[in-house]
Amino acid sequence: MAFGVYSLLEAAVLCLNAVCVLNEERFLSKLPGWGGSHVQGFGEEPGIKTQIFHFIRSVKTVMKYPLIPLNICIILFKLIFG
Amino acid sequence: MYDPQYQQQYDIYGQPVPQQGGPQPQLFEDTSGQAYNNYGNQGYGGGVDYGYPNTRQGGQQGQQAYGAYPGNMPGPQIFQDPMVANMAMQYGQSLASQGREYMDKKIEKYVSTSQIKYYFAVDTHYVMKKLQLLLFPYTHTDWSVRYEQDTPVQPRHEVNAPDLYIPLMAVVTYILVAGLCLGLQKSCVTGDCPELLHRFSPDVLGMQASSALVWLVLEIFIILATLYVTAIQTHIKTLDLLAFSSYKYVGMIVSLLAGLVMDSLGYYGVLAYCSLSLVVFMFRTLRWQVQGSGGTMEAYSVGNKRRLYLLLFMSGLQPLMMWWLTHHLVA
Repeated sequence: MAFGVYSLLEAAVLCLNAVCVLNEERFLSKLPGWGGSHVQGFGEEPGIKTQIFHFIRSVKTVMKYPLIPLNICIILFKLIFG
Repeated sequence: MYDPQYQQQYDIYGQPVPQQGGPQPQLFEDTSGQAYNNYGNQGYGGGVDYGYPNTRQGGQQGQQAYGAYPGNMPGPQIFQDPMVANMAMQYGQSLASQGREYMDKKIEKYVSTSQIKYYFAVDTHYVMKKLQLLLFPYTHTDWSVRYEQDTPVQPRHEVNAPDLYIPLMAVVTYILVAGLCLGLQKSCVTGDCPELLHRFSPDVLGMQASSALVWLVLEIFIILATLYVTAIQTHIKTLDLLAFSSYKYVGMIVSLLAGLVMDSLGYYGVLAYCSLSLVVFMFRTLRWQVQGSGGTMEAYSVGNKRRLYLLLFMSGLQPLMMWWLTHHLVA
């Protein structure tokens, strides 16, 4: 299967978009274990669920604003070059 | 020489030695036009006036000897003069080393070059042994890596340490062998074939290269994500992961070459053997790297179970990737 570096970039942006559009109120709060910052043991390995929730939360916090110009760039690129 | 009248000392070239309080000779200040007004091609009888004002009495000896070029540029003969050539070379060298230091400092922020140098510290013996291990790991007994002060010993002294030389060469060779395979194949593009077309064209090489790169990046990313999510504490670094993920290209090359000799049978047979060897190699090597300490694993604690699963996942991913990246090259 032939991929270029641009496809990789596009796939990364799409995945980040997918993580960032998960709505906090309607969906994430309803998940069991979501508000888990008080369950921080030390020396205990955190469970997989906690790690995934941490990951989602940090991606949303970090990438919410940079993703907007990135998406705009890719849309323009697709409009112009097809 | 010492000129008592003007309290000025001269060195052997007649060049005024700088006195305290006097203007220092500016060796490389402004060498265009004026400073070489009085320089001729007559050697260093009176010294070279590098920017002293012409009215300075110390340079008087020089001025008289160099009437040959009034107000002109000296021309290219200036570099035949050994002293000027010397100084020009020193200047060039100092510029070059400054430039190199600057570049190193800039690059160090993004890609730590000192760390990368560790991975390329290999020698022939290491490469031969490692290739042999990759293709036949069944008789090797000691897979541990010696450490010195918290960092692994350089690959040239320790066979079990990962390196980046073999992976780099393997990736480049894989791209070339892929081009070779495509060139030797003939395929029909349209329904009825008036002529058989080669599947090779130069841009295919670039496509293969970027494709291989992308799959490598994806695989490393998946492994890093797995490492993060399962929160396993390891000593393994990202560059180590890059090295381990790229060892499969060696097996792929061998399989592709076998596939050229004997078509599908050779390819699949050698692929199966190389996959098995690589799985054993990866499992045994990573057991030491992922564990962090000894190679023994008790299956009771959660951490070790996760490590085992991760090891199995990484090792099992290799044959899949090997097949995926090469099957389209062997029709």
